[in-house]
Amino acid sequence: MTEFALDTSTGILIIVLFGLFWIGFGYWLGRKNKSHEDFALAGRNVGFAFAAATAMATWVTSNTTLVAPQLTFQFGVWGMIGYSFAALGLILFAPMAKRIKELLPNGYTSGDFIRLRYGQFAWVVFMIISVVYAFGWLISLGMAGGILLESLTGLDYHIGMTTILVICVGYTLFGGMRAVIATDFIQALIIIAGVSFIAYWLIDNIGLSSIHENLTAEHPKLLDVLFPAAVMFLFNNIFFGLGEIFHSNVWWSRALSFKKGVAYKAYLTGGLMWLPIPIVTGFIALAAPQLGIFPPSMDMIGPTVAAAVLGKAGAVIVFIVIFSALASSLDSLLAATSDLVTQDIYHKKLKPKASDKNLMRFNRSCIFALGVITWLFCLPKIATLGALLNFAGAFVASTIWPILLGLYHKKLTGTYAAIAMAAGTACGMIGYFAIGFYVAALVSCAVSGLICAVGIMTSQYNFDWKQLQEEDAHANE
Amino acid sequence: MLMSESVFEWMIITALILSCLAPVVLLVLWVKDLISKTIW
Repeated sequence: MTEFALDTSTGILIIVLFGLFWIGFGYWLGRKNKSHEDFALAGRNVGFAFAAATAMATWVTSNTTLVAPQLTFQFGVWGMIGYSFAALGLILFAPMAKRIKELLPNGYTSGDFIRLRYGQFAWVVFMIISVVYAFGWLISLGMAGGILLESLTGLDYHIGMTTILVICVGYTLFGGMRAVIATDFIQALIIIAGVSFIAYWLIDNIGLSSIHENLTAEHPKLLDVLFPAAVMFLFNNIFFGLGEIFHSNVWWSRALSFKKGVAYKAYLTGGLMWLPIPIVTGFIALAAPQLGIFPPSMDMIGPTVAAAVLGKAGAVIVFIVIFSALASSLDSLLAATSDLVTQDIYHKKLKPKASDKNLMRFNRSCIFALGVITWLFCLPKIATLGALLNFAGAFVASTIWPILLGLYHKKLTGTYAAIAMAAGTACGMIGYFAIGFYVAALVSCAVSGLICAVGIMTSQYNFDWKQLQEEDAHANE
Repeated sequence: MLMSESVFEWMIITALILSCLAPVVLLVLWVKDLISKTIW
């Protein structure tokens, strides 16, 4: 884009106002945090409305608002349908969340579960996967922030990226999980209302028939329901989504922070609310050819179309929606990853006798450090958002079977779980480089599943579920 | 094989209606939690 939809000063004004609001809100919510459990898990007492909203809003990331339109532009209708199937991750996690809450009443993280269920070796492999994924996602979000501001307002990429990181680190630092979840609720409302409004405006002004007609005549491949690479993408995306949600502490820490009896219905509701969003955002990209819009960076196709059709008002809406989507995921990831480092590495391995106050201080330092590391990685624009995201697919899809079987099956041992995750990741990466990004998660999940199947068939082991009920180290404080 | 116009329209309209319903559902749940004092 040579002409920007918003002038730089308007962009800066919006971001400063939002930044002040979120940080102030985070600070206000953080006053209620009296213990590390309050800070990390919102006192394990989150109600249904906030729980459903946070599940939905966290899953609406920059990828849903920027990459779903990009993939729709690449793969046509299968791009958006395939993307919407990632809702299966949330929906299928619903019964697992209930099970997690039952099995680990005092648990803090997904790492806790892997350590107690599979032992040290599997824990190390799992932590490597988790950290690679967390940084992949954090960097893609930070980069998306910079790209967004630059594309819509002309503000330098580095300034935009830094501003978004500072805001999210700021309110997560002050408010912990409580701030993350409460801001997610407001952000969820903004995202859905904004995206729906843009799609409605497009339908009203251009018309669905007109878009379909133009695609049939000029770009029939985008309407092809038998587009092989796109069908492959659909299945790959399902497994990628399952891997992301099943393993990531973002979702485990939420399950553990919800009130008793809330986890199942919250994830189910969140998943169902998320399902149509990629179709709505993806559809926006299908209007691009008709409007003669071909942006230099494909991940800006959605915002560019919206800004072109709705003018300045549209650009403001897009800006706020994507900023909210970025913030709702960035804060969750910062909080969940710092919990993982604090609880699994610092508390369990380095300082088992650390006081509650000490853990809270370390957790806050960790959030700050994660923000700085993400900022350093974001300085060079290393890959397009889609490429960066799909690379992580090879890692996370390898955890699907070990997590699932670990929660429901007594026979899988730690050694097989570790080998399944390591070999699945390695084969997924080979698939990524040898065939394409759209098979990485598929290959990884298939290899990991095969190793787990062998592990179960040859196993004499019977895990005792009671071993998961670890005592809370601070119960006596 | 191309997706027909009616299927295309049906898919987009359904997705739009469902996404419009989501904020309503969230607000109703929030009010319910607020009344029963179970937000946190």
